[in-house]
Order: sequence, then structure tokens, then C-alpha cells
Amino acid sequence: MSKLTGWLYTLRSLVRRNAADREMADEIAFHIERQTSKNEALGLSAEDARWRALQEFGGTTRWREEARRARGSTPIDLVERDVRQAIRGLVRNPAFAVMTTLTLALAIGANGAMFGIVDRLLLRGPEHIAAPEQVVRVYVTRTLSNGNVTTSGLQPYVLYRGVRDHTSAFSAVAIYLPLDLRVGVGLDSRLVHATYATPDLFALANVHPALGRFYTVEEDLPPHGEPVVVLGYGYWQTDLAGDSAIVGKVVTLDDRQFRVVGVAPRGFTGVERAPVAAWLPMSARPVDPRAGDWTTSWRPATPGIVVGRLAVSKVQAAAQLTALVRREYEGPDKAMPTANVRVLPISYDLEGAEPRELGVARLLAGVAIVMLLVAAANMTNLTLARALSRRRELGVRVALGAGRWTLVRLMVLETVMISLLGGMLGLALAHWGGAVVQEALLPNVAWDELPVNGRVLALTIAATLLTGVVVGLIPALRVSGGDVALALRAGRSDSAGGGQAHGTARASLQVVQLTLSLVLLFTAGLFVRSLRDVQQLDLGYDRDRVLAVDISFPRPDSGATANGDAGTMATRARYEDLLTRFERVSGVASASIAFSSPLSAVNITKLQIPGRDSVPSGKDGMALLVAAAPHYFETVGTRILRGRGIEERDVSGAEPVVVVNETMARALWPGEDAIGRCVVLRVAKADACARVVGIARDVHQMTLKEDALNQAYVPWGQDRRLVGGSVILVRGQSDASRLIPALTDVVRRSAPGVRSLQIRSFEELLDPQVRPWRVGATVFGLFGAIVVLVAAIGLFSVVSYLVTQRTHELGVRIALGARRGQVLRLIMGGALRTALIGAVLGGTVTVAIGPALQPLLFDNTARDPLLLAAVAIGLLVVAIVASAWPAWRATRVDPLLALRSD
Amino acid sequence: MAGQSSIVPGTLEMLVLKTLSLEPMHGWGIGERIQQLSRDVFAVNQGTLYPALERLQRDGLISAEWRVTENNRRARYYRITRSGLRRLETEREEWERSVRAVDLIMRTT
Repeated sequence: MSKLTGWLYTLRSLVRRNAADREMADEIAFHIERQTSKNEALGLSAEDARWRALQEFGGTTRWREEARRARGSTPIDLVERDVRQAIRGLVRNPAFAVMTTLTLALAIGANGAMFGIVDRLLLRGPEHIAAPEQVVRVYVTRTLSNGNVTTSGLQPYVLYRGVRDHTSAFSAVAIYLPLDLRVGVGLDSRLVHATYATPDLFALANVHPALGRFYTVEEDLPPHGEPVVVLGYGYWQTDLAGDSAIVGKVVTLDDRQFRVVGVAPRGFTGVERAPVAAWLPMSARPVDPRAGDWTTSWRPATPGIVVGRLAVSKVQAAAQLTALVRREYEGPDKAMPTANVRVLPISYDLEGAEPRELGVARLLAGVAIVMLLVAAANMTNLTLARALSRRRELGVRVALGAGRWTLVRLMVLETVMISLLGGMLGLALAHWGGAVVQEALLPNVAWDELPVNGRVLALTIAATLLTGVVVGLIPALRVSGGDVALALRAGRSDSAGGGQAHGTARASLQVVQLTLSLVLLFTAGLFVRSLRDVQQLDLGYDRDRVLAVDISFPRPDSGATANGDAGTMATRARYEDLLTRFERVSGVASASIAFSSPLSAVNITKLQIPGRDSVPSGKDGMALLVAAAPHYFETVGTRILRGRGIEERDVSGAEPVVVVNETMARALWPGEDAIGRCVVLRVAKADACARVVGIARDVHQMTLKEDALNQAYVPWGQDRRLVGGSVILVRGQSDASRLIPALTDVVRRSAPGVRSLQIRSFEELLDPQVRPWRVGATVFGLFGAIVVLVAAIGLFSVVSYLVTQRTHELGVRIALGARRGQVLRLIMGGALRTALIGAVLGGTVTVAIGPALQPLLFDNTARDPLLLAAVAIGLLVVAIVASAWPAWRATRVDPLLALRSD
Repeated sequence: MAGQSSIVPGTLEMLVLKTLSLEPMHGWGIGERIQQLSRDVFAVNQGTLYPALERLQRDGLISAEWRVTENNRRARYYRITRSGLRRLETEREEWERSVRAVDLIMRTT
């Protein structure tokens, strides 16, 4: 009963809190009034009587406070009042609030974004894979006869079967092969990412289908599995509108019909990270009967990736598998009987190395954490500076009866509020920036959710609160611990005790920030240079003006297949028909056809030179073979150094001719003129010797970084094996990509039966190779900019505080005749000194970490004094700008006001 | 004022209840009355009175209302409730028992 009334009373006073407070104030006022008149009656003067009454009461605020607490409304009351007071404190000093919020927002944003990525890549593994650290990929490491060691993650089916049937290393083992398949028919078809996999992959991941079922072991019996498919959830949702009756329907993949048996669970990507549109039985792959039995061959045309869930330790598993491979291998490879099998984490790439993106992500996450620490230290510093300048206010509060705990609570509340504000802003930044970084760093990863997911959110909130509490607690405990009376007397000036040490700490913090800024900016600069070098690298052809039209015509009818030449003639006619139509499109400068043109395919042939006994050994005896139609060289932009290119007169039936590249000319006919010589290309008809008619520049066939190989160009159409699978090359008069719609339209109108069409510029084909450098430049640039901003804000606010604190001193100086320039020097000198030390330290660090950065760069050196100087000067400018405004303000100090203020 | 001392710790609320059982009174008056009834032996620490009054209200032992004083001034008057009277009775018994006990101990020679 009495408990209930107690609650009711508390509740009532909560509801009418303000009224209750007012009543209490009235009541106390009445009390003082009565006491005063009583004291007057005792013969005191009116003033003395009132003073005495107040004294007897013993602090109206304190007792009002006590009474309120007795009312039972305190907890909520206190919070609200404290929050209001904290807001008032912050509003009174907006610069402090804005600066610290901004700094913290940037740091928390960077941390949130990077944690989201690291979480996905390092901590959690692919979606749906439980205990991913137990799941490993199988690699075979061989030592070649020339001493080189190579590691490969691509294994034959026979190895998978051996592991499955003859070892106890894994509790589940699967083999899979990711690749792109064309879904649909004709011009509307498109490539999707698919995976051939044995059904034990689903068992290994222990997943259950979202719809229907997975295919069974019986449906995946080699050599010819059933044409069934399990669709990826994302593909089912987007391309098939989540059709709930999809099971039993048929989808066309690479012109083959597959019956849908089920849909994989949402977000399931196997042990890879790229989204998978279709899962197909491993033995449903189209196999070339000429390649032999793929299930028993140790060198099949299409190997797969073997993945298993460890049942024993990694060392034991590797030992078992090594023994198996050495025992079972049958074939000509002399390195295999001594090969070693390794089991490595599924995050590793096919060469058994940790992917570069992972290293970059880890590096960036480290930088982000350092940044948060720096931002927190920055904020602590500012809070302390502010607390010191508020000593008098705090002293007054203590004198008025505020307990130490109240003061600490108040100050911590202020910083917690700032950090919460910063955290919210930071989350927005993380959301936006995380998407950018994800897209830039790892576009092929299935980012199943927003950059800011539950875990990121939880971590950010925890980091935010922790930062707020720690940042507020340190200064609060320091300041509130002092002697109140001393604080009151000390006035505005920084207290002598610890002031010096504190100044040093502040300066070293600034130095650390500037050092970090310099290192990040320098790294970003290196990446930008790499990117520029990559973009300006001369590949031997024009990358921005050329389109590669990859087209596949319908299969010739059965009659034509029987008569190979007729089929080839038909295909050739189709290419040539389209070529003439493309040439007429306005904006097209020239067009040609090529088999295995740069960036599309590699076709290697053996060489023989009549009159020489021995076939040149090694790479001298090989050449990349390209079949090129007339105008090929002017279309792709490869210069003919001597002689001529392929021309109209070199049609089939005419004298066999060949254009060779510089390297081949030098390698086969050193010191002689290659033109007019004769070389047998073993791919062409036996014995036919081709006459060299021209020498072309070396080109990069597939990659940005490659040594020039022998290369031979023969007329397109002469050899019927070099026709199907050609690309049409189109050179635009200006930006080639603008021609894509017009070219697509031509194909649509004149070649309706086309099975697939893909038009991409050389630039686009190169893009995956350029990306690492672009990512490095973007991400390091972004982080560098953020850190510089944080450092600049820190510098600006610390200098501002110093100016505020030294107002009195500056007033005196100005009153004594200090000139504006002198004051400016006084204030900015410190900031500049800090920046200089930071620049020197940063320079040292960049030299130290140079070797670590080197492998991430493209050809350019990690020691770049010019870049270093530029970055250092840039930072000094930032330091000057950041300290200039507060310094200028210092020169405007009115000596009269400054002196009187104390 | 020599000869004055603070009230015995823990008895303030009982004394307030006793005072209010005589007649409704405002805060200042309660302090004055306690001092007066104790023949100036006890001086109430005036500030402490108000938290005590809030506590008693919360426990439902007294109630309050705003009234006009004889000097035409608004003041909050407190009145003892029925459960307040009951509480006063138990507190009084408790008090007398402990006083007797203390007395017994002190008289032992």
C-alpha cells in the first residue's frame, strides 16, 4: 500500500516536475522570508537578517536538490537536467562541439566502413559456411626442372576422387569450377556467373535449399551427369522474379537446356565470394571426347578446385594428400612424384597466395584504428584544454555544493553526447564510404547486405560510447580533483601544475597525426603515379579508340558440319558481311577481323625455319599466332616498322605471307633482315612456308606486365581453323564506346540469328588489370584526405584553444607594444614547428616502409623524393592555413578587454 | 547560541510527525515549533527539513496544501494523515523502549 502511494507520488511529481520544482522554490522563499523577519525582530538590520537566514538554511540549491531527490524523481530528472546542461555547455562553445564531432565522425566513419569489409573478408568467411577456418583448399606445389616452384589450386577430378575415397583428411570434400555461362538465347542473352560443383559442396557447407532440392550424387555421376540446375537465390529473384513454380522448368545455359530442381539459399556463394547464378553438376560439363576420359586424366582440359572440411590437422591432411598424389600420379610430369600438397585457407587465391585486396583491406583497417585513436586523443586533448579553461566555472560549481561526481558526470556527458553525434554522422559516412570502398576494392564479392550491418552498428556504437566516456573521464577526473579554492584564485590561466607536460603531450599528438597524414598521402601519391603509369603505358596498340566485337554465329547446320570447309566459308562470309556494314557506320575510322587479337585470346604455335636443322628450343621456337584481316594494324594502332601489313591481296589461295613482330625478327634472324625470309608455322598446312612481308611493333597480348614474345600475324581466312571465334575490331574516329549502340543495331538488323554479342573497348578489357592501382589510389587518397582533415581540424582547434587561454598574456604583450607580426609568429611558430617535425618523421617512415610498398606498385619506385617533397610542402601549407585563422584572431585581442576579463 | 544542539539523529521525521499531530503547519513553522517545544534545546538544521517533508509525503504519512497565512502570504501547509498518526504511535513506542533501555544501561553501576 505505502509502496504504491510512494510510486504514485513519484509518478505525480514526475508528471508535474516543473510545477513541483516551482512550488519547492516558493516554499523555500517563504521560509527565508519568515526567518528574515524573525532575525529582524531580534534586532538585525534587514540585510544582515536575510544573510543570516540564508546561512541558517545552509544552501538553498543544495536542499532543493535534496528535496527533489527525496521526492523520488531523481534518475530521470537528473539525466534530463544534465543533458540540458551539457547541451548548454556545448552550445556556448560551438567551435569545440563542431570540431570534435567532425573529427570523430570521420574516424568512426572510416572504422565502420573498414570493419564492415574486414568482417566479411577476414572474420566471417563466405555466407553459410560454418566454421570457415576448418574449410581449406587443396594446392599442389611442384618444383620444376629449372628450379622454379609453382603452386596451383586447380586440380584434376581424379585427385578429388582419390582424396574422397582413399584418405580420411576431410569430413567432406568437393570439387567445383566457377565460370561464366551465357544464359538465354540470341542478342538478349547475357553472361552470368555459374559454378559446376559436386553435390558434396552443399553437404560441406551444410546448407538447405530455399526451394526444391539440390541435385544428387546420382545426377552427378561421371562421365555424363544429368542436365539439372540449382539456381542462385539472387538470380532467381531478379531474373525470374522469384517464380515459386520454377522447379521443373527449363533454363538455357550456353545453348543447353537444364531442368531446374531447386533454388540455393539466399546469399549462398559456396566457398567463393562472387554471387553464383546457377549451380550445375560437375559432370554436366560439356566434354570434348578427343581430350580423353576427364575423370581419370591427371591433366584434364578443365580441372577444378578441391575444397574440404578438415577432419584432422592441416599438417596431417597435407601429409596424407601428398602421399596420395605421389602414389597415384600417372603421366609425363616429372615434377609430380616429388610434388607437395598444401591445404590453405579459402580466402587464398588460385596461386596459393593471399589476395592483394586482403592485404590492402587489413592495412586500411589498421590505419582506421590508428585514426580513431588519434581522433580520440585529439578530443581528449581538446576536452582537457576546455576543462582547464573552465576551472573557475567548475570551482564555482563546487563551491555552490556540486559534488565531484556531479562535475565528472557532467563533463563525461558532454563528451558522450559529442561522440554520439559524431557516431551518427560517422555511420552515415560509413554507409556511403563503405559502399564506395566495397565497390572499388572488391566488386566481385557478394556483399549480401548494406555496408553498415548489425555487427558494424554494434561495434560503432560500442566504440562511440567508449570513446565518449574515456575522453570525458580523463580530463574530468584530472580537473575535478584539484583544490577548489586554488582553482578560483587561479582564474583563467592554465594551472602551472602539469601545464608544461600537457603541452608536450599535445604537441606530440599533433606530430603523430601529421606523420600519419604524410605517410598516407605519400602512399596515395605512389598509387596515383602507378595508376598514371599504367594508363600511359604503351601497349603497342590504342586502348581507348578500339572496340572488340565478340560475336558468335549460329552453329552451321549438320550438312555444313560434315563438310568443314563449307561451314567455315559460311561463317567467314558472315564476319565479312558484318565488317562491311560496320565500316559504313558513321564515326568508324576503320575495321578489321582477327583471330586471337590482343586481350581476347592466346594462340600459340610452333615454328620451324627451313634450312635449319634444329627447331629453336624454348620460347624462341614458339610464337603467338594471330590471324588478321586487311587494315588490322591501322585499326588496332600497331605500327608496322618495316615492310607492309596484311592486305587485300593476301586472300586465301595466294602466297602464304606472315608479319612478325620485332622480338621474333630479332630472335630468329639476329643481325639480319627478316623481310623476305621464310618460316613454317606448324599450325598452318604442313610444309607451307610463309614469307615475312613486314615487321610490326611488339604488343602486350594479355597483360600489362609481360615480356614480349614472338608473334606472327597471318592473313585471316587462309586457315579455316583460325576463323570461328574471331572478333571484329572497330576503330572509332574519336571515343569508340559511343559507337556501341550503332554497332549493336547493325547486328540486330542484319544478323538476327546471332547467338551472343559482346562489344567492349580495349580499355574495358584491360580494366580488371588496372583496378588494383585505381583502388589503391582511390582508397589511400580517401583515407589520406580524411587523416589530413582530422589533423588540420586538430591543429586548428588546439591553436584556437591556446589563443583563448593566452588571451590575457597576449593582451599584456600587445599592451606593451608587441606588433601584429610578432603575435602572429608567436602563435603560428608552434604549429609550424609541429608540422615540420611531423614532415621529417613522416619522411623517415616512408623510407622505412618503402620495401613493403614496392610490390604493390607498378614499376615506379617507392622512393620518390619529389613526391615526398610535394606532400610535405602540401602538409605545411595545410598547417599554416589551419593555424592562420586562430593566429589572426590572436592579433585582434583587445588589450583592455583581455586585461579586464580577469 | 550556547546550549543548543542538533536533534538526535534519526528522530527528525518522528518530531515532524509529532508537531503536525498537534496542528497543520508550514515548513518554517515546523522548525520553529520543534525548537520551541524542546525549550530551545534542539535547533533544527532548517534545510534538512524539506527533504524530510518530501520523504514523509512520498510515504503518505503527511499531505500538503497551499494556504494563505495570517499575514496574507501563500504557504504550503502540511497535515498528518491517518497512517501518519499510526506511524507516530509506533515510533513513539519504539522511542520510549530504546530510551528506557539506554537509561537502564546508563544507570548500571
